[in-house]
Amino acid sequence: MDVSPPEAIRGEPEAEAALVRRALDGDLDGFNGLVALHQRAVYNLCLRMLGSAPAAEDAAQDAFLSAFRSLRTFRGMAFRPWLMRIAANACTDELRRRGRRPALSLDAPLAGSDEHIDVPDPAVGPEVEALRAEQAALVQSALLRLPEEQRLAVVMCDIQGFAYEEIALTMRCSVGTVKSRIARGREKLRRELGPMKEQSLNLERQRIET
Amino acid sequence: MRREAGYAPGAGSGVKKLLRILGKRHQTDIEALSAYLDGRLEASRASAVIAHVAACETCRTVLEGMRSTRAMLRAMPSVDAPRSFRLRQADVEAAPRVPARTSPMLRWSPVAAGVAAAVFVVVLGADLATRDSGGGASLASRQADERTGMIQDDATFSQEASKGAPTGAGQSDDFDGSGGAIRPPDTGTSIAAGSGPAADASTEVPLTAAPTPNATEAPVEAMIPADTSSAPNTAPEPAGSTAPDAGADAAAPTGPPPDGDASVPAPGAAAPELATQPAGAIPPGASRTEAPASRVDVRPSATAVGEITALADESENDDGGNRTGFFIVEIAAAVAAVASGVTFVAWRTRRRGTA
Repeated sequence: MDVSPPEAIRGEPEAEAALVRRALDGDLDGFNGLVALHQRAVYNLCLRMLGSAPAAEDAAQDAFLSAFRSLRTFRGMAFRPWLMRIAANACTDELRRRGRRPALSLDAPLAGSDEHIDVPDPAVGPEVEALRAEQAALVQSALLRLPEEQRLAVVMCDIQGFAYEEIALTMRCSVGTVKSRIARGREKLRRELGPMKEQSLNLERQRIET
Repeated sequence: MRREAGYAPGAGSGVKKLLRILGKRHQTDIEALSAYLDGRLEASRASAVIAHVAACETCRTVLEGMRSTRAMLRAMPSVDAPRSFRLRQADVEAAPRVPARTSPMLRWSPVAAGVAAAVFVVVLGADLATRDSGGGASLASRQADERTGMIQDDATFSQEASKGAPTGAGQSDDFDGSGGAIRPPDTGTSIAAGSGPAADASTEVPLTAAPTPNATEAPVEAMIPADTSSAPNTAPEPAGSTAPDAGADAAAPTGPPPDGDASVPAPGAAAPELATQPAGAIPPGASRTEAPASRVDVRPSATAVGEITALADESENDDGGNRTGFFIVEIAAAVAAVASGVTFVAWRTRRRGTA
C-alpha cells in the first residue's frame, strides 16, 4: 500500500551528480542523461497539475528547455527538486495561458489524459479496470479544483511519492508549510470525493486480493 | 457541532490537544491527522491523536476519509512519458525561443516603429521642402494659376492666367531638352512679350526665378511627370477651350519626356502655390478652389496616376488643408513610432527578466 510510484524513486545519486557536472559544462548529452532520468517524474507532475496529456507534454518540453537554459542558476542544491520547480513553473505558465483562453476547459482535457492512463492491467478484470479509470478521472478533476499550491503539494506527495523535504525544496517553503498544504489539499479532496470512498475501498481490497 | 476549518498556521496545538483530550467541542486538527497518516508526527503527538481518534467519532471519520483519499491519490497511475524529451542541438541553439508565446504584434513592433519613423521622416522632409521652396514655388504656382485662370473666366485670374501661361509655354517651347523648372526666368521674359499681360508676368517672374528653390522643386515633381504625362495633357484640352492659347500650347506640344517635366509642374505646383500665396488665397481663393474640381471632371481619359495628381492638385489648392494634412501625418507617424518602440523595449526587458 505504501509503495511509492516509480518516478519518485531516486536513481543512483552519483550517476546523477556526474551528469549534472557534465551538463553544467555545457554538455548536451550529459543534460539529456538527466532528461532520461527525470522525464517520467516531470511529465507526470505536469499531467496531474494540468489534467491534459497534450498540455503536459508541452509543459514538460518547456520545462526541460528552460532547465537547460537556466543551468547557470543551478548551484549547490539537489537537482531533482530544482528541476521539479521548473516543471511546476511551466505548469503555472500553462495554466495562466489557459486562463486567458477559456476555450480550454478543465473538463475537456481529462478525456485526453485518460487515454494515456488506461493501460490494461492483465492482473485485474475489465470491471475493476473500468472502475479504476472512472476513479482516476474523478480524482483528477477534483485535483484540478484545488488551489495550485495545494495541488502541487498533494500531487508530489501522494501521487508521486516525494518526501516532504523534497517538496519543500521544490516549493521553496518550510516543511511545515508543505505539511499544511498537503493537509488542506487532502481535506478538500476528501470532501469532494467522499461519495467515492466505499468504491475506492472496495477497489483497494480487490487490489490487495489480486 | 464541529467545524472542519482549514488548518490555522501558528495555532497552538497544545490547546487543541487539551480540548480534544477533554472531549469538548473542537476543530478537527486536519494537519495533525494528515501528518499522522504520513507518520510525520512526533511520538507524543501521534499517541495523542490515536487516543483522541479512538474517543472522537468525528475525527475518526475525518481520519479514515483522509486515508482513503490518500489511497485514491496513490492509486493514480504513473504514466510513461509519451515521448522522449531529450533536447536536440537545434532546440538549444535556437536562441531564447520565448517569442513562441509573444503575440505577433509584439514581434512586429520594431518593424512598425521603423516604418512609422520612416514615414515621419519622409513626411517631415516633404513638409519642410514645400515650406522652404515658398519663394521659388511661384513658377509652379503660377502654372497652377494659369490653369485655374484658364478654366474660370474670372477677371481676377485672367491676369494670373496670362502670367502663368507664358512660363508654361516657355518651358516647353524653349527649353524642352532640360528640366523646365530651371528656365522660368527666361521663359517668363521671352513669352511675356508674346502674351498680353506681360507686365504681370515679368513682375512675378523674378520671384519665381530664384533658381535654387525651383531646382529643389523640380525633382519632386519630376517623379510624377513621367507617368502623369497623360494628366497634364488632358488638362490643357479644356484649358485651351476656355482660356488663352498659351496655356494650351505649353502643355499640348509636350511629347517627349522632357516635355513631361515641363507640363508636370502644373499638378505638383499646387503645393508650392500654397506656400507662396497663403494670403493670395483670400480673394480669389473661393473661385480657385472650385477650379480643381472642374478640372478633375474635365479629364475622363486621365490615367490612374493622372487621377492621383488631379487629387493632389485639388487638395493642394487648399492651403490650410495641406499644411494640416502634413501636420496630422507627422504627428501620427511620430506617435506610432514612439509607441511601437516603447512596446518593443518593454517587451524586451520583460523577456530578459523572465529568461
